[in-house]
Amino acid sequence: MVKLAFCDDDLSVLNDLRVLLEQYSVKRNQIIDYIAFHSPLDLLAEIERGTRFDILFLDVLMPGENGINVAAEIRSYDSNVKIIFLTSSAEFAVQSYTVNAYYYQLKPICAESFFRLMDSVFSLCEKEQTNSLLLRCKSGITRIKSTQMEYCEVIHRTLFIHLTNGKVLESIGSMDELSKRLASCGNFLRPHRSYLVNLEYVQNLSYRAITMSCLAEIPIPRGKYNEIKNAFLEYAFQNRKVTI
Amino acid sequence: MRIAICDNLKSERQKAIEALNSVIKNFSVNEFDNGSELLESHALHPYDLIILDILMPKINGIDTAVSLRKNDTKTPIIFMSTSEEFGVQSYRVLAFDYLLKPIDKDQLKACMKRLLSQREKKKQYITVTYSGVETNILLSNIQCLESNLRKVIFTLSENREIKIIGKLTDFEQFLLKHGFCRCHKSYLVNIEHIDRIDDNMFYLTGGKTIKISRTYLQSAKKAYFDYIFTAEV
Repeated sequence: MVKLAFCDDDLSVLNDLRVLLEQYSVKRNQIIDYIAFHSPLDLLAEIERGTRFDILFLDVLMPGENGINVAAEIRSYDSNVKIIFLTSSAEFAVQSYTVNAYYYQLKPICAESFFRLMDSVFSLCEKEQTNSLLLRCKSGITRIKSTQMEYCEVIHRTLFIHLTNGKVLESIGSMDELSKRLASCGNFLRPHRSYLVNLEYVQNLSYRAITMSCLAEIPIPRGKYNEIKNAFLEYAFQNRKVTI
Repeated sequence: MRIAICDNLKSERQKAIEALNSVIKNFSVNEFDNGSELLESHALHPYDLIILDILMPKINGIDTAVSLRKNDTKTPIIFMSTSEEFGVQSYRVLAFDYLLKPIDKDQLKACMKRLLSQREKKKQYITVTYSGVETNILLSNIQCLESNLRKVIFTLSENREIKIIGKLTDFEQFLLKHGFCRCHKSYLVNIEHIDRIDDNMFYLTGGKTIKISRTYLQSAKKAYFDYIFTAEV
């Protein structure tokens, strides 16, 4: 389910957006969860409370806070939310790149443009949601594709997610929970209660350990070797693909 | 990383290259002073990043981008301009960033950091059928290919050999575009694995020596030298 918010100090704009969104929702047969904010401070408060949005429509010229600054603050919490500026002035278009905006749309927006914009941002959100995870890490909220995860280790209640590019992300959570979230992916194996391994990046398997592409060694508990070996072979033959 | 810079002023192109040098390494640059030539070049051999000036005679940067986007929605475009005027339009061509001249090095650095982190380093591989199983062989693991009767022998890293049924020409077209060179009727060599060269022999990293035949001598040497002088150091 995609969650949307709009923020504009002009009530008539909020109303127009509401109408457009309802029309879009009907036309595409999509349920869209949305909230309208009259003031950017309310929007920020909501985000600080922990509410996550997938798409944000932001005005730029608002009394008090400028939309670009609001976006910069939001980015410190969430690097993935799609920010669309909806404004009467072209003046801030170049600046909007500094906050990694998805689009910069001039008012007034007609139904056709709105629908096209929604189609494109929606399909991006959907594409991202398959085979990727939103992780709440120390560095904020980021979306990680399952193909970027090499293996995960849990120490007490902290998950250490080792990415293929060498970076390690830290997130609070349980391995059971992470394992469940990645279950639909089919690439992940839990050889040990503290480890989750992406079978795509297994380089070698021995009685004692699984060696990953990054050369990390994942211990195999006593007696589990055969089970792990079979799971790996099944995966390799299912994909009928092997990488040397 | 292959970068194309298009600006009608040479001094501006120089400034852009200088700025890039201060924030990233491992890149090669092709310069263009007009959009049409850039588009032609990109169509033949695509770039990883295109840096476009906007205000140019004949065809401006935005229109160049519009043409590009007709066939290519993936290659990142960074606009560099003295004018803020095209901000809104830049979004319509899916620009990656829009930097104002003179270029602020910190801004460029942040932009390149973001670009590089998004660029998944796709490990290049070739797909073959080995013992009935579809197998992906990482290009970096292949030293050379040798044709022998109706089979092709792949020499992999650590001099491991695997035999695949087929002809060299089955793989040639693809491999020539990915860092391999034909140096003999029966050999295709991965330039990355060439340790050194002398008169008419390639010495590979695994110790193997490959003869360069007269027909291919000139082109093989050229491919090798091009690689050493422009590749990531």
